[in-house]
Amino acid sequence: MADLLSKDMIADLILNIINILVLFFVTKALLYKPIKKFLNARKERLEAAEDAAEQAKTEADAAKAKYDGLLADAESIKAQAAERAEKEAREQAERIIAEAKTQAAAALEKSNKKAAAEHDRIIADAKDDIVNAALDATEKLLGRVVTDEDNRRIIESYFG
Amino acid sequence: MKKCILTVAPSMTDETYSLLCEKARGKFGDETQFVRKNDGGVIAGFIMECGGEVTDLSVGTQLKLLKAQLQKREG
Amino acid sequence: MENMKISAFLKNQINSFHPGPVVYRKGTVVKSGDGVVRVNQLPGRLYGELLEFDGGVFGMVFDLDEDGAGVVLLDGDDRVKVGDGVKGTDVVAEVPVGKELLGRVIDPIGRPLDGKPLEANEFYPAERPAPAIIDRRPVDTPMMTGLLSVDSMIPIGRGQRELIIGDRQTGKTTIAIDSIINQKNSDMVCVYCAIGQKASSVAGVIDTLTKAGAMKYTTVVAATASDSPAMQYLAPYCACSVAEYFEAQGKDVLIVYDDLSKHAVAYRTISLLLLRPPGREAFPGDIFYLHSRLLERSACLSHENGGGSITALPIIETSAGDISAYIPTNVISITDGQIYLESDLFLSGVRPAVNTGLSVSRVGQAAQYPAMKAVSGKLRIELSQYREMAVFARFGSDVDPATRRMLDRGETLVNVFKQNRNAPYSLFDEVSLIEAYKADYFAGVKSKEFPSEIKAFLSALEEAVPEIKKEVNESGKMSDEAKTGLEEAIKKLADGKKS
Repeated sequence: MADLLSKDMIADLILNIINILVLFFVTKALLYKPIKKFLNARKERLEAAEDAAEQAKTEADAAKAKYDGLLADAESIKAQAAERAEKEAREQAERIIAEAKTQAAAALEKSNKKAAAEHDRIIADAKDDIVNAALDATEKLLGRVVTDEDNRRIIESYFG
Repeated sequence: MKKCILTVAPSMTDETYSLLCEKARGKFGDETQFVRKNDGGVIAGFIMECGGEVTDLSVGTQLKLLKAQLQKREG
Repeated sequence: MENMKISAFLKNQINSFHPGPVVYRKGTVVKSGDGVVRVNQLPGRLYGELLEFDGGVFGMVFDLDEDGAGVVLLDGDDRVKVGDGVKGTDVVAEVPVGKELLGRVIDPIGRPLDGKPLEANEFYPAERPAPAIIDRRPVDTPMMTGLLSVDSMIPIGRGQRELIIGDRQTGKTTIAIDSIINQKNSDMVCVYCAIGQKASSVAGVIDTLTKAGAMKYTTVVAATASDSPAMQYLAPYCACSVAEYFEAQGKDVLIVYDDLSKHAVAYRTISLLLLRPPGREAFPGDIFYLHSRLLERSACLSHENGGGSITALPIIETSAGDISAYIPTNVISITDGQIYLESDLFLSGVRPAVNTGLSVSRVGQAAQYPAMKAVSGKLRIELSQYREMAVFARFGSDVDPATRRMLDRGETLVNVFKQNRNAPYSLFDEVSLIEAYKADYFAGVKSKEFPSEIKAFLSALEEAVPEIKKEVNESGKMSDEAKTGLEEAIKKLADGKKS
């Protein structure tokens, strides 16, 4: 065995081991560490990106939820506004109708009063016409039937 | 001399007119001069105007007053 | 049904008719022209008697002599001819009176001008004697005009005669109309007498009063510019008789004569046509008596005589601001004070354009509510000092801080006194505005912003202290607690404005 393991071979072996070790350490120092660092950085970047994406997703979900909420509110506001507008329109319509009814009642009362006044005026005019006709007739009749005796009676009644 | 205008109906006879003048003379004095005016609107009676004062005893005026009263508007 | 009503009426009238002799006095027209007629005979004629001419024209006896009378026609002067007959009516010029005249527009002899029939049961003569000294009592009750500048510095009492004098278009009628409108919530009755005014102006006044709801307690007696001088002469006397009816019922009446300058001119016209000797400025010798006997009928009656009153606001129009002319000085010497309106103030935007220096109320604070008396004491002096200083400031001279403050406060006070027409203030509003001015509430407010500031202030105050408003408006007094409450409310509003 010892013959097998000659000094050269042991030296080679040791050199190879040293070589490997040097290679290992050099590789580790020059390659492994940077690569690991690179890989770690890449991993961190990927993790950060993933986190950011996750956060963005969360924010997007929140925004969507908020938007959905606002949309729902808007719908509710729209519905309320529509209801209010309808109520106001209804109230205004009722007000207009009530006002129109009041105006119509006032106009009716005014025209009734006017009609009553016109009626009274016609009656009064008719009365005046009757009186005129009656007294004109009386005047004409008296002109024919009055006698001298009537004249004397009037004179006597005044002077005594 | 006082002047007195007596407005009478045309149908009044002279006798009745003389009676009227006589009665009026008793009121206004003997010196009064009477002037007759005929007016159909008098109908009967007389209107006596003397010294700015008018006494109206004509049937025509009474009819006018009655007409005015009947044509008054009801209160 | 109607037939039965008519026949019943006719029967009733016939039954109540009693024929009898009709006696009247008669004359003859011997001269006619320019609305003046000379009448012969007509025994027993009375001065001021109404005469009826053939054709239904009426005239009034103005001159009496042995042979006849000088008569001034009330209308229709082209219908009277020489030789026409004229009847004496035994009636001296009179006017219908009564509650039925409220809300109505009539002419001086009582004919309605508003298109509706008028049935009156009572008549008063146009000329009536003024109440005797013993029948009067001192003026002690305020008559609020609703105008801050008048109620605070020139207070008018019930039974006082306060002249409103100024050039044309200075707001004289507006002050009178605002005073009438302000009586809406009081128990006063109002009479507006238009003498020689344009019919369009009278129609405008009636429209304003109607819109403000004032016609229901107002009677308008109108003799417009197209009416005869005799109607214009009669108008104020008849209006005063209408007022005296309500005074006799124990009511307080406000009467406006718009205006007495035209009344004097109408009387001058009549006198000259009747060949009476002309005096100064061609007015007849009794021109003073024309107005003195009218204005003396406005009085405050004693409680034994019913306690009623007539407050008169006669209006006189001056020419070029000359208050020393004949008619203005006459009426100033008759009345218990004057409100002098200046054209310059009016044109510079100060409305009502009251010159407080030349205006006075001889009744003074006796005619002010205690609440107003407590706050308005120094206003006149401040305004007078401001006006004096303002002359110097106009020349751009530098002033010390105290003077600057006086000028600023004076300008604020002038702006506070400005008031829109037909928008009277209540007593509480007036007192609050003065208190606000004193507390510098309106300091820094620009002229243009005053109307909106005042409006906002008054509404905010009404919301803040409604109980104080009620107390002041109803009792006329402001208790110490109320005064403190008002001051605090104003301070709070001022602080709220700053923040």
